[in-house]
Amino acid sequence: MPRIPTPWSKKRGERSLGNAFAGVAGEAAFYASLFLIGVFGLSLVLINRFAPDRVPAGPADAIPSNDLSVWVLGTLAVAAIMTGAISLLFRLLQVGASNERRRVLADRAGSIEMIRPPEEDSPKLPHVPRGSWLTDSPGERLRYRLPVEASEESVFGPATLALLWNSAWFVLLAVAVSGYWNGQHRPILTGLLIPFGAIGWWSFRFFLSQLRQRAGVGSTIVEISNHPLIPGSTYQLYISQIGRMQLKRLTVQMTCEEETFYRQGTDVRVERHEAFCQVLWKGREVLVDPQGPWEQQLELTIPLEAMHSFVGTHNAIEWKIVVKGTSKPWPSFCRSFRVVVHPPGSAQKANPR
Amino acid sequence: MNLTLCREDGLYHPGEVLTACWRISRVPLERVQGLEVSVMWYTEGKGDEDFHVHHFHRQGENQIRRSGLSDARSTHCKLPETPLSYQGKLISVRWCVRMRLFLTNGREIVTEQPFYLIHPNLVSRTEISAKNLTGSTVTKNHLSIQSEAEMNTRSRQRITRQPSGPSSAT
Repeated sequence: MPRIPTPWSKKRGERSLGNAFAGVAGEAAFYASLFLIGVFGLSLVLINRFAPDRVPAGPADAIPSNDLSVWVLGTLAVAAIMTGAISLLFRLLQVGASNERRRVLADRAGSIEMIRPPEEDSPKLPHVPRGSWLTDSPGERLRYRLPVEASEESVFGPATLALLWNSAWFVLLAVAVSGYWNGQHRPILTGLLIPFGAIGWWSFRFFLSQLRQRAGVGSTIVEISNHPLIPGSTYQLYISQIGRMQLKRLTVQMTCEEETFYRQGTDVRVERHEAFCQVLWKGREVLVDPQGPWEQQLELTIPLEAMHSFVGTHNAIEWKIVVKGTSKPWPSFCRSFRVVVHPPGSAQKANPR
Repeated sequence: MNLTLCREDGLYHPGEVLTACWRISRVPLERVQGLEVSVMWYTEGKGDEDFHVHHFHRQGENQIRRSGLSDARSTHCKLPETPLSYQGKLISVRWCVRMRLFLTNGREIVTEQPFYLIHPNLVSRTEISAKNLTGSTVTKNHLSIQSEAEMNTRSRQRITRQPSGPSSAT
């Protein structure tokens, strides 16, 4: 008995059940329909706009007559035409071409002379980050000062929340007060001001606590004798912690982290795994004083078997120097300084700056 | 389809020349529409796949008709410095030579021959580590690469993905 074709299929791992050609045909039909609907809508708008007297008499609201409706319908029609045409062309270009061929064509398009980077800037180590931004800043003790990675816990979010919420609360307060002055009492709004005010107070306190955390822990300075790093080589490292605090624990370590991005439904998720960790220094009850910051000069050796830094579109292997501190009353802090590891035997070139 | 590499152990060093040879049999010449051979790397693991084609060789219908299918053919390329083969927990970087045969009825036959791009220093160190078994996490990653390389001296064929109809093997 012949199977009735279904318009859907189920993907199981790398295998797709169902007819792949039907999928392509369905997509092409959808985008072609979108394009044609857009053409139809745009034609209606243009006829109604420029030759309304030639339109045969019909229901009064069949075609929009006021300016706003015309613009809205016209914009939607143009958007449908463009989306349909571009998507249809893109989908048809993919027919009959393998992933590898498409990638090669894309790479060739990116390397045409007009948009190709200068010869000296072209990467000699493909898919290894160049790390030139890491050697922009000269150090005081050693050759380079490494930039700290942007913290994920920013004070910007709590500040925006507190500011916007409290601004809205004051606007509502002004409305309520003006109502009382004019004899128009608004009891519901007045009642809502109390819980809204409590949320505003909480958001302001949260912002203050975040600011206190950020301001309380002084900056961390990491300098290195050379960069990029080569497996098997030894480097000097200078660490300095500024501020006023009594740290219960302080750790300096070198880590290699696998980082991967993947889609789960409509979300993009990130997962990290520490593939290698080498503790360079570990101490307890470390005193950091504004007059005398904590300083340490360390030696760092990259294992000869180490994998080099790698960066793809969705995957990366990153090497970092991580400084972790635990203290009270300030919260624990963790600061990362990214470094680039090249494969063994690569030549090191000093930054001219 | 038979796809072989110039080195039996499948271990290559950066900058070395790789030669891939292929032979196609039991496929009528008039059914072949095109052929692609790619030297490429791709990532495997939890994340979305990244891949890059280092060397690409394509033969169209006319070229195949002129040269025929009975003789062995080859292509060669100089391997890049990076990325080296890697096997981690979340990410693996794998190199391979992938051959696609396009048939006139819209089907594709895909064959893959994996190989390993490893730095010369790393191989010698790995051998030492294999005896001592005292390596770090990173060493273990490369140990597993080497043991896999020994097992993969013969072609691994991942057969046949086709746009429509039932699957066919070579």
